[in-house]
Amino acid sequence: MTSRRSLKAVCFFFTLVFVLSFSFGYSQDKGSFTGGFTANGNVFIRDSLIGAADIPQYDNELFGSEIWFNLNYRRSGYDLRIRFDAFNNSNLFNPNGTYTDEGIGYWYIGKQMDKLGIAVGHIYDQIGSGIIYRAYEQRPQLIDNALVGAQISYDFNDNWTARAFTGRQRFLFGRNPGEIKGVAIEGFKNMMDSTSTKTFTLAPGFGFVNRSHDDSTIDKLVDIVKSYIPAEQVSPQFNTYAGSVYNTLTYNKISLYTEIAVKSSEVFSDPTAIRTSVTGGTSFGRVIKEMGSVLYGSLSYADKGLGITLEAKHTEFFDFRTDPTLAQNFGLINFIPPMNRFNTYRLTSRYSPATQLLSEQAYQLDIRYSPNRKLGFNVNGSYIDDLAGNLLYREIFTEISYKKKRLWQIIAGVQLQQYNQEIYEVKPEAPIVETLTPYVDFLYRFTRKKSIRVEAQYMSTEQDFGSWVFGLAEVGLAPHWIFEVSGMYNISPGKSSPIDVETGDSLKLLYPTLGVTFIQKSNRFSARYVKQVEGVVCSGGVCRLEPAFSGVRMSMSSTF
Amino acid sequence: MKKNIYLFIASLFMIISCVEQEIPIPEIPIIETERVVLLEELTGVKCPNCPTGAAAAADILANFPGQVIVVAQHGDLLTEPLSESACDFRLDEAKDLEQFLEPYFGKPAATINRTQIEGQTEFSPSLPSLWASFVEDELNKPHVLDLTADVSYDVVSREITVDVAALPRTDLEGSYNVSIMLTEGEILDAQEDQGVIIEDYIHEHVLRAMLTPFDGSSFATSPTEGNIINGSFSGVIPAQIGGCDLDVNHMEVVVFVHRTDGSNKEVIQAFEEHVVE
Repeated sequence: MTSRRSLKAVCFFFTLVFVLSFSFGYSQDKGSFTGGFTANGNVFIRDSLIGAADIPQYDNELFGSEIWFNLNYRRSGYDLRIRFDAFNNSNLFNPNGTYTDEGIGYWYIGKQMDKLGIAVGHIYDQIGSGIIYRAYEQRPQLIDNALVGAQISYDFNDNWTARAFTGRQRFLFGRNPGEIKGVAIEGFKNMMDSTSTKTFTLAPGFGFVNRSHDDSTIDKLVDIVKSYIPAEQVSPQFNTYAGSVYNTLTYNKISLYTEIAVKSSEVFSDPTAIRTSVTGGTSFGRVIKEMGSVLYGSLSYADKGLGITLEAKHTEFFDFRTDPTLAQNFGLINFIPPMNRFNTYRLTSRYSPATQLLSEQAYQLDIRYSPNRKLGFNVNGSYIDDLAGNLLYREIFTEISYKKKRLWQIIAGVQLQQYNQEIYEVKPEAPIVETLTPYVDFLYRFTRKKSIRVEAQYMSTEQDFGSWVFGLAEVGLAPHWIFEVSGMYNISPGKSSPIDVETGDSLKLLYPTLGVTFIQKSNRFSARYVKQVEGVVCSGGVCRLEPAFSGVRMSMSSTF
Repeated sequence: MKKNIYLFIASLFMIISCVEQEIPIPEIPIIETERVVLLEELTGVKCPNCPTGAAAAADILANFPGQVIVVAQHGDLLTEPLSESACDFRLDEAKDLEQFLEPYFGKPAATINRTQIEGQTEFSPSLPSLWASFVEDELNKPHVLDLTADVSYDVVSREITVDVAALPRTDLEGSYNVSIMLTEGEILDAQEDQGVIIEDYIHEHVLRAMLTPFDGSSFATSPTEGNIINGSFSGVIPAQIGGCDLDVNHMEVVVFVHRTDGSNKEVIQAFEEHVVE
């Protein structure tokens, strides 16, 4: 079925390209093709000691791959896009399972006619910061929540636009149940006259989204609810509405973004709600019916060399999905911004908090200061609790960077964290993980083309896997080659570290990586031998716990 | 221009103000059938949501008396004993079954008659609140096989013999295996429950041993209506498994017949009997 649909989509795409080519044969706009190709290949080498075992890829399949090939054509206001996706024994969808399928994963036809824009196909979009609606793609976790439907947009003038959309959410090569429709109106108002040297602007917006369940989802919810005792039964309804009002106020060097989002009462899963069974016992987890809300604000100040951003967020019952019985990252209609720093170093990014949809009170402060071009400072703090006041996450991150012309650069700092592993990784009995992680990153350029970068990090913690030391050396031979060798060593193993079955002692294991990358113009090829410890992987603010990996990772990307 | 925007916003609020008809919640139906459904629960003592699964299974047993058999399998994921645990419920067969019944996204998960449920990406769905409706669907399928077993247990030698007899109600296609499990209930031991350790949690239907391989023993190929199929299986129930005494007074023998054709693992009938009457 998927292949027949895919074939039709490919034929349709090239027919449209053909028609456009002839329809505007004498136009000055000759049209252009652009595109990209990305391929990943994983060789799975079983290593039961680190937990890289007992999934089909390690036991039987041994190889997995993913491919995306997209092609775009633009001409005379028309915008045609198509993408072929293939997954072969892939562990992207479910890190503990295997997924194989292929077909047209994305197509899009758009046309801009003066002030009016129309589009059909797979549409990515977001309203405000995404709190009530975001259709997006995150390949590292195989999230592709494109809306399959239609969208129209209209520019009232240079400052005010409106758009409306309707469709269903993409899920792999199919659709999630539930119809989604919405509108957004966004504008811009300069409050000062054009002669003023001061800046005072407003960028207000309003968004509204409706999700209607289909009959099968309602039947499923009724099936769930009818097994509850009468006092805990809630009546599902077909429609849920979410609205948000947002605005960016800019006054000289100060900018304030505020968003208030409300979701109408609906039935959704609450894993902390107490359920009474018909036999009289109690347990956690049932569907409840509540209204939801998110309040989010970001205040920032930017002056020469100085940037300060303070964010705050309050989330209550804002689990908004195409199907309330879906869990984890599946079927989410919206995206609630995370409130922690996006860390990139191996050890500073080891513990990262996923956004909590039902109960979260969070603050983040980020200060950056650069007195001159050589020197830079960054201090960041995150403070996240649930609404009952339970500690979820704390982070203090410091960074200092110094650049010596084009010869060398050093970045160093310390990170302190408190991380509620029991909540974020659903690990019973896990205590709050407390870490102290100093790190240094040094880049030295021998010549314009030859450079070496070394990283050294140490994470001190008594919880989880215990303390780690990480070292990396990366040699760059521009413009073609990058060689990398790194190792993450469990220098002081903890409770979760692998155990020697004979002695019962925790093992001090090394997780090495050896890699090479070749770059030829817009083509990039890489191959890496990797042993990676289990951990939380976040991309674009969306996190999930992934098992240990052992094997070879190959990737290729190309744009044209 | 402003007028248009006001009209637009007003129409949106009109949509919001639309009130839906309330959906009535029906009662659990009584299904007249001789079919008995097998619910295999993938669970673990370190699984914080698994008491929710156990409660859902208990509700199903209460709502469909005599029509459902539950087996709680402590395989691999989240099954390592807690520091407060006296028993180690892990079993090699349960670990094999956990892989055999994949995929599932997390625990608790359960397979109902080992069928791939339409619309579910998991083979063993991990949302306990849906299990009752899946059981209902299975009970509504035609009853195709009568299944019974005669259980004899020697108190001194602890040897157990299970004589199985099955009678097809219709001609059946494909190959069938029979699996025989020994479960134990009323075991007081530690269990994680949403961040809290319950030290005297009552574990029910725990898979403690099997008299057949984890994926069953060959039983019949294309059995025909009216022709009885027999099989006899025996073994010794050990005094202890996983550091805990086995109390035969709280043990059950679970027998079920299931397909073995390629990916088709469907259970067509199940039967349960006490080890000791």
